[in-house]
Amino acid sequence: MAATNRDVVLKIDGLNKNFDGVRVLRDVGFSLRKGMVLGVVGENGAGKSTLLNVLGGVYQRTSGEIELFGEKYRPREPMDATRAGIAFIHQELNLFTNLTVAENIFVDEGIRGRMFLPPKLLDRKAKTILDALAIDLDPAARVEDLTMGMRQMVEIAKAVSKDAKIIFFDEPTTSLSTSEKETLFKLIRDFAAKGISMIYISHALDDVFMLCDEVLVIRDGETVGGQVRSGAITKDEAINRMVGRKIGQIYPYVEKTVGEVLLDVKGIVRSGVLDGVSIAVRSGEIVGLFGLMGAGRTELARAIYGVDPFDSGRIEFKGRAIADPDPMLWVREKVAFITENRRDEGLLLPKTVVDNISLVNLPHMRKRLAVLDRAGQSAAAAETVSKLRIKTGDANRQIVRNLSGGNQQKVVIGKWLLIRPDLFILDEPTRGVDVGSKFDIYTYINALAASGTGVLFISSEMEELVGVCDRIAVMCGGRIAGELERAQFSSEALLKLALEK
Amino acid sequence: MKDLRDYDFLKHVKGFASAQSAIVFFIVYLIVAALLVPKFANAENLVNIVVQSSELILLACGMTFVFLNGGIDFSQIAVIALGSVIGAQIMVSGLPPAVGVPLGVLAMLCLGLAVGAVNGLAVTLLKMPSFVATMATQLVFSGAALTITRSKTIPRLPRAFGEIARGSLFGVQYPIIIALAVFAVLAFLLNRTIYGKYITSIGTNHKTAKISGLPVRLTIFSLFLISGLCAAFASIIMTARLRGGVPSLGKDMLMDVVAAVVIGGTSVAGGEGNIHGSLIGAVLVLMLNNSLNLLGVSWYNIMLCKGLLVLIISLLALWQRKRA
Repeated sequence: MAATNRDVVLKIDGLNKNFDGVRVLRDVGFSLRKGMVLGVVGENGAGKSTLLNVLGGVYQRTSGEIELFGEKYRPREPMDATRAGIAFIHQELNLFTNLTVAENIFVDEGIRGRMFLPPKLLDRKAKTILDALAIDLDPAARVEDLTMGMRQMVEIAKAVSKDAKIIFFDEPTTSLSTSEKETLFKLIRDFAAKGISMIYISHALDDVFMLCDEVLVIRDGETVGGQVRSGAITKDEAINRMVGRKIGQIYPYVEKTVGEVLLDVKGIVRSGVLDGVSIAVRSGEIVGLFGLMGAGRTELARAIYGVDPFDSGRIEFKGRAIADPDPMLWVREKVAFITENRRDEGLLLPKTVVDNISLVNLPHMRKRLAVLDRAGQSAAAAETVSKLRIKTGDANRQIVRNLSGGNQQKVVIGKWLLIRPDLFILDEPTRGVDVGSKFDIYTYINALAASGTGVLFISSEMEELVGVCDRIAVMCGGRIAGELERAQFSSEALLKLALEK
Repeated sequence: MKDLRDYDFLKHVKGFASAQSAIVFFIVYLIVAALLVPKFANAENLVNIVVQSSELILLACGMTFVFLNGGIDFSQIAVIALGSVIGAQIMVSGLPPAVGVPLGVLAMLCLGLAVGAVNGLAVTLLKMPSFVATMATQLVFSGAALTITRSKTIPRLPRAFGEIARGSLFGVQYPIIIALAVFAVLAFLLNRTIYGKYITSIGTNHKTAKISGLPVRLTIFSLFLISGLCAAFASIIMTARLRGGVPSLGKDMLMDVVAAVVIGGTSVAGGEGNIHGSLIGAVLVLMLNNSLNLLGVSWYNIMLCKGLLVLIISLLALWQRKRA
């Protein structure tokens, strides 16, 4: 560790960031050397994304010193960061899906740049960049036709085209397949060899430990234990530092009494997507739904809940046929649904925590003359906030947009708490959520099931399904490929069913 | 500069709290006009402004509801024109005023609801953007008003009907009472009831609201009924003032309505807004018209001034939202 000062590209000392008087970053310090990958881990809301946003010029720091290539660095807007050689690969990709790969790579150059070259020439220039990275992509392909993994490659190519010397990755692997992940990791190693420095944020601790030279743990806006070599700390130690308490067992499985059939779905067909799916959920039972990308899990849940249409099939709830499923009807039946897209379909981002939590139960929050019972609304929300351990300021004023991912997800779940659901359909409820919040969510799901609620739990994380579920149904190519009871659970068995064609 | 939110006195004016820029502008303008414009600050003129602003208040309140869902209602002015013509036709058809006047008024209100229903169905069932749907209905119904009358005015409506514009209760003229009553009911609906929460929630994000089981289509449909009904009330007041059915009535009012709502702080994108601001905005627009008129400023330059005011207030709102 003979790091000379010349090697240090980015040095941060005593960095603070306040939002409306609330300290989000407290005295953060670390240094990044040439060609180094620094992993930053922590619970959602710990301040990881805020840290990157301060460095990327999205937010301005409150106090503290940032030194970039030995000079003072105070970005006022994202363009300043770009000019200084910093590229930012966001969790939600910033691509124009209606444009081609080549157009996206050069789009920021605008009027001054290569955007106005003839398409063929633009494609050729893009091809040079893609070839240098050994990325196999057609520059003329439209981004909307690409998988999430390929889109990420486009984003990276875009960063490289601007001569980035430092690249920030914020949760880059959440929507990537295993092989796409491998490609990304190879690219990151190549970059490091070329002397590009990187900061890598992820909840996937195994990836972080494998990929990064050093690791920085952040909890509640503060660094815990400083910057350490990734070999010098174990995964369990890192988790304990992240949550500040010991999580004995990440997946708290509890025995439940399984009752009569609640939801009975028979032969749902949606041309090209669902090919005669049948599945049943009993009360007090947690049924997992596993499958690879495109297997039809999300589509099945949306069809059942009446968000997307289907061509034929039969849905029964508590023994009664549901002819025309529709969210309004399901809410009356006390059936809850969390979609995989919490920002667009789960939350009212510019509204308060109270407004969001009381959304589903609004029709019952009335006094005489349909007058809104505001006190009742706040009280119910406060109860939900403490039950789910949502980290928020004054829930009557806190805007949901400014909460962290894990806390946002808890708000989405909290919306349904008040109607005491008999059946809960959850689509990827822990995606992009930190370990501590995941644990809270599992605990809540278990408590629901123990009180007799049936749960349909959709996930692409095998580990959590195996940990939490009583039974797992596996989908493949729009069909149920098979079901496994708890005694039969194993990664091999699940994957075998998921890959069955 | 201090954030307007920091001025405590505004927080105590319930409901007006989110319309601060409009209120501050209103007060500043009132003082400046009183000092600089001769004949502005006398009682008669001020009362005049308030009476004249009643129809704009009605229209702006209705428009606010449609704005809250990120929509717009161009057809308000068609309701004014066609309502005026149909109401007048009924009142001069030979029925005794005791029957004709209530019947005419009822017909005007029904027309407002009917046009609103057409708009609402077009937007919710046919999934048309409200911009297109209400533009179409505006052209159709305004055209109908001109066709029915061959673009002639229907004069000499019953004196009893004219009383709606001229009469007063405890010294307060009926148009003001009607406008404030409608405003009070709508403000109650929006700020105090579950229905009001439905509106702002749905206006913020349709998808989230739908999956949360809210009656999305019914609520959006109802917004156009409200807008149409408000326009019908405005039509009644304006027709009564002229005591004539005029097929071109209200044709220049649309931009004033939009200006009033925007000045009041309601976002064109939906979800955020308040009806109190629209009330202030409407009176402010009328005050501007009146004071500049007294100064002898031409109609074109008054238009220019209104444009600048909308621009300044929108920028202020943007700036405030960015700081929040």
